[in-house]
Formats: sequence, structure tokens, C-alpha cells
Amino acid sequence: MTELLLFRERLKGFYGRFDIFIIPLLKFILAITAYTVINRNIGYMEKLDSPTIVLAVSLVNAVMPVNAIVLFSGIFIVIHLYRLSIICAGVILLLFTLLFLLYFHFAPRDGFAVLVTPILCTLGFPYLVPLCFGLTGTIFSAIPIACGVIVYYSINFVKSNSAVLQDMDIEALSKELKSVVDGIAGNRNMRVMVIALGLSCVVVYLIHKLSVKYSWTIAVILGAITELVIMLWGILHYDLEISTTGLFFGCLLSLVLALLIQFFILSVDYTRTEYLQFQDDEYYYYVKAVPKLSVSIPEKRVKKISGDEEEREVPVARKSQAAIRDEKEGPPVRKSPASTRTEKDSAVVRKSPAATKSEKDSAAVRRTPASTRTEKESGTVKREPSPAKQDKKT
Amino acid sequence: MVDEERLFLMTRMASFEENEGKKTIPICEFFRSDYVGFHMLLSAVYITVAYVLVTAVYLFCGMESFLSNFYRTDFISFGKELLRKYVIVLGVYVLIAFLVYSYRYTMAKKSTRTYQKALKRLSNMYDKKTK
Repeated sequence: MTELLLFRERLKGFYGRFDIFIIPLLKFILAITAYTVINRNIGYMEKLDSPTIVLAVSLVNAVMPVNAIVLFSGIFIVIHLYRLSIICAGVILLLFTLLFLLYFHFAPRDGFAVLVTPILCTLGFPYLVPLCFGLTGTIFSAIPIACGVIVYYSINFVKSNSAVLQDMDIEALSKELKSVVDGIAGNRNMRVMVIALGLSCVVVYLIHKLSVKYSWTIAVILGAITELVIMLWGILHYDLEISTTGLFFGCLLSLVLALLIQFFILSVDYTRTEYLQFQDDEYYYYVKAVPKLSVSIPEKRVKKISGDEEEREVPVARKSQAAIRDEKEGPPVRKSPASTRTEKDSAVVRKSPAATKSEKDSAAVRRTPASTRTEKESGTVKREPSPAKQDKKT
Repeated sequence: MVDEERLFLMTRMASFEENEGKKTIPICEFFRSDYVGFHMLLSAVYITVAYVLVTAVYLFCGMESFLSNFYRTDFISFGKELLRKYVIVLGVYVLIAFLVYSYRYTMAKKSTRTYQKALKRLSNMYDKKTK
């Protein structure tokens, strides 16, 4: 357990130092996975089903917000389906439009759930999604998860009926539209999956909010049990074509992954290095705030054995990570304005040495006199505490 | 000479502005009634468009039976039924929008309370310095 905690702290430190590279890389991987899954399943447009296009779009998405990946994925799907059948493209476009109008303007951040759910459904363990989003999101996160399931089953329907849909007669438009809508909406697998994942997300959210010990772990376990029970009920009641063995293993794997994710990612405050700049009447300030680590390296004991001398142990002095960093980079400027410190301040600073600290920020500060101003400095945000800002409402 | 106390205050404020403040500060620049009212209006527009789309698809799917019974259809009662459903859907959705955005405004206000206090303290520091 200690090794796991140590590894988690090192992961936290690694993320804190290299987040500027890690986040774009993760977005790139997510984008390339999403587009590859879409092209593998409904790659009817040959031009889009090309590694060059996928790579180029993924590289662009790496530097954009996550919702850009959701938008581009929607565009990819609609274009592929347009190649197959204009009616299918229209129905899917209508579905995406309704999702946007009814929900995404409320919670644009939850677009990520709509992207991840179909990907994990394709990979075979959709049960992981509500366990994670129930811990990180709100009670309404069940809605984008349900939307993701609907998108997955819609694409699945199109994929399995592509031969029939391709030969649709545009003159019998209303009949064909009705058959597509009924085919998507009437899918019992989809209905049971929506209920299972939605209810599981709600259960996980409600239980993890309780102030009991291990509430997160209990929430994840109960969420997995909820999914399993509802899916089993669906299989028995509606005679669904879902393998019970696959269901059990899928739920078990999702539970294990959710517990790992919860331990390594969700229960840790991953503070990042921040680069801030501001100015006052006299100086321009460029501040780099580096999060401190609370882990100390395990003590090393060196044994020197020689033929003449006796064995002796020379313990190496214990050092903290911050002390090692100070040796390399020099001690940061620190002051403790005790009169202004509050419990809620996120950047509390201490006078005591770094070896005895816990979790605070240290700031390395450089200042530039106003007389040596450059073009870069002229673009900094000016912090003027003018009374006008406080009287803005009047 | 750099005033370190002022420096740390400005650093914390800049950090807040870069992270949480990006969402909460623009919200707090509105009055509560303006912010909630604007988003309720926007939600009403969205639900109206969504309702029209869904009704259009529903009518299109049942186009054959609709056309075959065209001359026997009581359009006034059909229109009243559509309007009644629209009013119910609109009322429920706008109520949800009111609750969600009121909650968001309250949370944004709480979040910026410390920032506003820090802003006031910084203003006092500048006032003392000019005196």
C-alpha cells in the first residue's frame, strides 16, 4: 500500500511538472481513438477514412478544448452517414441537434461523457462510464451518458442495416424515416442500457456524497452492482441478446478499473505549475507557482564491506523532494504574511524550511522595472483595484 | 522596492482569475435577475426549436395516415392539443432552467467572495501608499 501511495505522489509530481505536455497528449490520444472507432464502424466516406486526415484533425484537437473533439466527432459521423444515406444523416443530425438544444447549453463540460460512452461501448465495457462520472460529475451526468448510449446504438443500427439503408428510395421518404426512427428508438438493448447506466450514475453520485468512511469505494461497488442487476433484469424480462458471462466480466473489469482510477486520479488534487503575469504602477510581475510535494524519499542505507575493515552502515541523510529541488534551483522567495493568511487561501506561504512542509505553493518571482518594458510585457493584464470595478453594477 | 505582502495577494488573485474566476467572475458581473432571466429566455428559445423539430419529425413519420385522414381531421383541436403540450413542456423546462441558473449564480457569488475581499484589501493598500 505504501508503494502505491508513493507511486501516486510521484505521479502527482510528474503531472505537476509536465502537465503542459501531458494534457495535449491525452487529448490527442482521445481524438485519434474516437476518429479511428468512427472510421472502423461507419467509414463510408473514403476521404475521411484516411490516416492523414485523422492525424491532422487529432493534432488540431490536441490544442483545442475537449468539446472540439465532440464537435468534430459529430461532424465525422454525419459526413460518413451522408455518404451512406441522406435520411440516416438527417436523423443523426436531428439527434445531435436535440442533444445540444436540450442539454449541452446547461452543462457543456459533460460533452466529454457523450464522447467517451460510445468509445467504451465499442470496446466492450461501457459499465465504467457511470462509475467514474458519478464520482466527478453531478446527478445530471446521467443524461449525457444516456445520450452517449443512444448515439452508440444509433451508429450500431446504421452499421448493421447499411445494405438496406443504402438502397432507400427518396420518394417513400416518410416510410423510410419512420423505419429508421423506429429502428433506433425501439431498440430494447438500448433502453435497458440507458436505464442501467443512468441509474448507476445516480446511485454512485448520491452515495459518494454521504459523509461516511470509504464513501467513494462503497459508491463504486454499489454502482457496479446496480448495473449488473438492471442488465440481468433486462436479459430475463426482455430476452435480450447479451451474454451473461460478458456482462459479469465487463462489470468486474469496470469495477476494478474504476477503483484504480478513483485511487490514482479522482481522489488526488492534481495541482499544476501555474504561470501568472500581472502588473502594478511600478513593476511587471512574472510569477511561476510550483506545487510542493509531500513525499520524502525512502532512507538509503549504504554498507561498505571490505576485507580489512569491519562492516559499517552509513545512513544517507533523509531529504525531501522540495529540499532536493531547492539545491538544484535555489530557494524560492518566501514570506509568511501571517496577518493576511486565511484558511481558504490556496497559495499560503511559510517561513519554515521546505523539509517540514506539507502541501503549499512556492513562487519563484522575477521583476522587471517599468523602464525596461518590452512588447511582451505591454500585453499583461493590468490589475487596478479601481473603485469603478466594485461600483460596476451601479 | 517590492511589497511582498501585496505581491502574494496579487499572485493569489491572478491565480483565481486564471482558473475558477474565468467562469465565476463574468457571472457575478450581472445582477441575479438579469443573469437568471437571460438564461431562462435562452432556454425557452431552445426548447421551442426542439419542440418544433420533434413535432415536424413526428408528423413526417405519420404523413401517410395524416394525408389519408386529412379531410376528417379537426385541425383546431389538433392545434390546441399541440399548443397545450408545448406550454407544459416549456413550463417544465423553463422551471428547470430557473433552478439550475439560480444555483449557479449562488455558487459563483460564494466563490468570488474571497476574491472580492482580496480586491478590497488591495485597494486599501494602494490608498495607504498614495497617502
